[in-house]
Amino acid sequence: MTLHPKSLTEELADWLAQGGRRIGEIVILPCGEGWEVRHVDDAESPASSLTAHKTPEAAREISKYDAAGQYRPLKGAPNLVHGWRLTLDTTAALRDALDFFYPAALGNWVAFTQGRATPSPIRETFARQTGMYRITGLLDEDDCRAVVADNCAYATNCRRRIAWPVAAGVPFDTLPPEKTNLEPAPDEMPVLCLHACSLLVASARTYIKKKRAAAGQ
Amino acid sequence: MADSSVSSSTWRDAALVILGHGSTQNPDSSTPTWQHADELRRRGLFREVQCAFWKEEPGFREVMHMIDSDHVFVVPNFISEGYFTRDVLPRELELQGPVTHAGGRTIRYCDPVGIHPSMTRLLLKRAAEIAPGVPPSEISLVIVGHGTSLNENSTAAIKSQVELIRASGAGFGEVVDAYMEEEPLIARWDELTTAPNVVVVPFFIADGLHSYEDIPVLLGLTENSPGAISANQGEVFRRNPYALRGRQLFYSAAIGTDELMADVIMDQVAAAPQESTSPAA
Repeated sequence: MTLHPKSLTEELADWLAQGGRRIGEIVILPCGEGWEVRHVDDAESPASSLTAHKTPEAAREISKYDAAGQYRPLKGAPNLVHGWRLTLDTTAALRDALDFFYPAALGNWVAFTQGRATPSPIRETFARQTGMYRITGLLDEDDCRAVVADNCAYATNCRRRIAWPVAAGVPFDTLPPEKTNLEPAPDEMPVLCLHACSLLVASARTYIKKKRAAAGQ
Repeated sequence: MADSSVSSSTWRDAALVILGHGSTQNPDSSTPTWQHADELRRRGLFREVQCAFWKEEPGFREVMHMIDSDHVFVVPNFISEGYFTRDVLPRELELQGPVTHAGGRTIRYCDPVGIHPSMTRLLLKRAAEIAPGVPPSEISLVIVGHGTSLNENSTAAIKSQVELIRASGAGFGEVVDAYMEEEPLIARWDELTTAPNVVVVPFFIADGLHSYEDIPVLLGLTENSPGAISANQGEVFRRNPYALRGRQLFYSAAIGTDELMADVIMDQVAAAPQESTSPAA
C-alpha cells in the first residue's frame, strides 16, 4: 500500500515545474540540471559576491544564526542571513535543504492542500498542554488574539502563515491578511503554521502569569 | 550493535524519526540529534531519516507530514523514561500505543535511547578515552544525572547503568551514581568516591548549561560565575585532568554527544514493538 501517490520530492518537482520559486525569505533558481538557492534579496547579486555551498546540510548551518550571530530557534523569523548561495544537483537534495531552511514547510503545504492536515485551533493547543504549560489553558479568546499579535507579526517575527482558528468556528480575523493568506503569489509556497509552536506556548505562559499576577491571582 | 538481521529489509522501506527536546536558548542542544541522523542517513539503512523537536523545528506535530514512508520507526533521543516519553511525545504524535495505525501508516514507538543496555558500551568507551593510561582499578567512575524529586524514573536509567558496569568486568575501582538536585549529590563527589582518579560522565543527551556550567561549578572545577563557562563551551572538557581535593579528576562531555549513539538508536529500532493485531484505522 502506498500512502501518497507522489513522494514529496515529486510534489516539489511539480511545483517547480509550474514556476514555483519562493519560500519564506529564499528564492530557488534553475542552475544547469539542478538548482541554486539564495536569500531572495541576493537573487540578482553576482555569484562571485556570494559564499558558495554545495550540500543540503549547509542549509542547516546557514539558517542557524542571524547576521548578529544570535541563535535562530525559530526558522520562520525574517532574519535569514544574506551573502550565500547553495547549489544542489538534484530536486531530492533541494527538498532536504528546504527542510533545513523552513522545516516541514513542503510537507505541511502538500498535506494541507491535499486535505490531510487539520490545523489545531490555538485554544485547543493551549488546552492540551500539561506540566508547566498547563496554565496556558486559561487564555480566553481575547488573550489568544493578544499573544499572537505580540509574537507572530509577519514583518518582524515570523514568516509562517497561520492556518488555525482561535477556536472551532472562531476564525483569526484580527490579524493582517499577510499573516493568514494561505494562497500568496503563484510562485510562492506559503510557510504554513498548522499548530502553534512551542515559542508561542511559552509566551502564552508568560502572558497569563503576568495577567493573573496583575489581577492579584 | 544492532542485529542487522532483525527487520533490516523493513527498514529500507521505512522512515526513521528521531525525537529530541531541543532548545530555544542553546544552539548545541539539538546538535547531537542531527549528527546521529546524518550518520544514519549516510549508512543508507532507511528510506528516510528525519528529526523533530519539542523546542525547535520541525515540531512533533508536523514531522509526519515530512515523510513519504508508510512504515515509521520513532526513537526518542531522550535519556530516561518519564514525562516526555510517556506523556508529551505520544500526545503530540497522536499515538495509540506502542504500534499506531493511522491514515494508512504504521508507526512503531521505540523506547528512549538512554534506557537501552548498550549505553554501557558508550560509558566504558568514554571512560577509557578520557583517562588514557590510568588503570581502571584506580578509577572511581561517577555517572551524573539531573535528578528531580518530581520523577523517580529520571534516576532509573543511571542506576541501571551503574549496575551493568559493575557487573561488566571492566574492573573499575568503583562505579557510583550522583545527581545535581537529589542525593547522592554530585557536589559531594569526593565523599562518594575513594580512588585516586575520578572520572565524571554526565548522563545527558547534549551539552548545554548543565554540562558546560552547572556541573563544573558543583564539582568545584570553576567559580560560580554564570556565563563564564558557557562562553567557552567545550573548554571545560579540554583541561583534564583537574587536581582537586587531593584527587585527579577527569570531566567528560555529555554521553549523548558520542558518535556511537547512532548505534544505540539502531539498537532501539531493532527492539521496536512488533505489529499489533488492532485493525488499521
